[in-house]
Amino acid sequence: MQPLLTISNLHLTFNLFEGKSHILNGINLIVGRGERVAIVGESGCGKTVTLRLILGLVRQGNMKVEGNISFDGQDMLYSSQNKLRELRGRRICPIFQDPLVSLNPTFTILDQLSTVIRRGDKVKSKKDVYELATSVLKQVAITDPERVLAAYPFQLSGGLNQRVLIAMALVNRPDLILADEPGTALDVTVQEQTLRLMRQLTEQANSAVLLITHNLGVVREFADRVYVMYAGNIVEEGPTKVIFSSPKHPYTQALMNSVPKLTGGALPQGIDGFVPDYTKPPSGCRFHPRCVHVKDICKQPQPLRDLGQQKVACMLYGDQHG
Amino acid sequence: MAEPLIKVEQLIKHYATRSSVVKALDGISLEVFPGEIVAVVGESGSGKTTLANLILGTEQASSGSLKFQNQVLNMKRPLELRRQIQYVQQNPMTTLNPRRTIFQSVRVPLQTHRVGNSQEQRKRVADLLELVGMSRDYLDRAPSALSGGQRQRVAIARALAVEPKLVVLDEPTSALDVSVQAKVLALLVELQTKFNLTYIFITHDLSVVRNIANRVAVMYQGKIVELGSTLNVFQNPEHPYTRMLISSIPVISEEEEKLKPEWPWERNLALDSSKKSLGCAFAPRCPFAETLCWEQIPELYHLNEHHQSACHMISGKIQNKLEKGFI
Repeated sequence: MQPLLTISNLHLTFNLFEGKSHILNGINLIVGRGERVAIVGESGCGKTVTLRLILGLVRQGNMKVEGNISFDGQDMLYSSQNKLRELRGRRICPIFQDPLVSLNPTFTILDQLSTVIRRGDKVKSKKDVYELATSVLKQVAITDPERVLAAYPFQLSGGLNQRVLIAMALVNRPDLILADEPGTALDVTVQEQTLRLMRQLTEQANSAVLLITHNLGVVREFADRVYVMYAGNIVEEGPTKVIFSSPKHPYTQALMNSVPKLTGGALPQGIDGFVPDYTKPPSGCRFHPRCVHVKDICKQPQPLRDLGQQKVACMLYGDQHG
Repeated sequence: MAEPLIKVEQLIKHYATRSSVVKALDGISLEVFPGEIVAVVGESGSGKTTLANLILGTEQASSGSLKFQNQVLNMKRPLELRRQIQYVQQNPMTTLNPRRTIFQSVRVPLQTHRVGNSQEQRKRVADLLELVGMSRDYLDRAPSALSGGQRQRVAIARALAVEPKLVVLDEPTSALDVSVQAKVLALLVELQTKFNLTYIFITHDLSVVRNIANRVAVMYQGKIVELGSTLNVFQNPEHPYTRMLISSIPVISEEEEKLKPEWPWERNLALDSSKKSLGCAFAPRCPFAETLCWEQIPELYHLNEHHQSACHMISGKIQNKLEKGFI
């Protein structure tokens, strides 16, 4: 079966005053139909820019892109904005991080939700739009949709706003939902509810989700498959269960050891050093200056190696027989 | 038992708005003992930061008493008392003045409390930087040259400059990446043991609390709803809000998953949380709420010596309801 979204060998460079900044360094990623995939990594590793490239929202004069992004057979990198506009809001829908920033404070929820509904081809009349808006809000467990529709975003709580955003993303039953840290700006209890809702509703609509987050716990609860990203590279990928039960890349391992555990006991360990400067990234494996297993060979590029269930970009797993 | 360092009794802070009164703190009682790490947890708007502000003296309480070693803590307080209580704030990007060098920033408390001449101060600041794991090369750099984790280290150095007894930490690691957060937490614990400091650790991240706090106070809408030793609260959460909080932590292993209490999320979503309750503030969001909960405000009662909770459902009742499927 052909995957829904394919990113192959994606490179991104910005020309800055300080020099060339190599942000993405050959990203390969696949999202199948109805699949829930997560990209996990720390701030500044290139997660969000990847997502914005998929949506065609990064188009600056000083940038250079190589590689390919194709959505259902259609090219996303070099298509005209008009063509992308056809897809956005209909077949690809984003959910951004901060619900209050994503919604326009000067329009009511009904205004904003109906704009999205009208982008779909199904309903046109005012009455139908209102009905669909009410029913989709009910789907996201909003008990009094009439009040919410008449309200402005600042009159609603963060959790309600986030649910409105999810409703907006789902109303046209898109093939792909791009979620950038949904729930991070919310309280844990609300975040948990949000994730449960997203999971349940995307399953019903058979939408694929590409989730971007720094929270490993969220990944474990939500995603089928996970990509671990560090400094513009995918360092490890595989099914969520496999990655969490036996992380192979030293970065993935260190990241897991940094999370405070509910079991208590020892304090988490953390990682020494810093995320590299993208204008002069370390050669080869970009994690090597911080890695405890570092060897000379790490200064050469490390391709993703297939270990059966997961793929790892690390020399430790290079020679299977050695 | 030792004398408490901080004693809070029936502390109330209300803000009047045009149409109503916001009850940021609604009768808080809490004791913090020397050498202890007390975590204050709760969602945004539960009054955690207001409590910190009152202890730090940036706001005046509406009523109730707040004492530090039997001295009353008002907004107006002697310099010596101010020295004893220091503060690390949440956002590492705004905690340092961008126009000042690191030396100038960390020096401020030394100047305020007239410690040493400028040469001694420079030496002291260099020592402090070393203490928090930074090289003295950073003395004359601007904050913009530092990463978030480094800035937070500088903020910690500044808080410790005048050798306080109590440090109020308002979400000190929530803006940091996990790999950096782990390092900063380790530093905080190390300094706490080294100088026998007392921390009031305000956070919403319960897995952090589990790892560093001795005691936990769970707040909900201006009230403490559960208070107890960390082990007690995490192993036997009594208040439904605490249960909900703990069961909503995203964890990364099966082992941890088993430690989370059961919580009926489906029932919870269907509740109308905009209803007003005259009794327990949590009733509108509580799937277990009964008529009594809506009418009468529950008081904190002792489950055992180290564990208090404010809920009408006495021990075991919630577990029963869960097992019997809400009959």
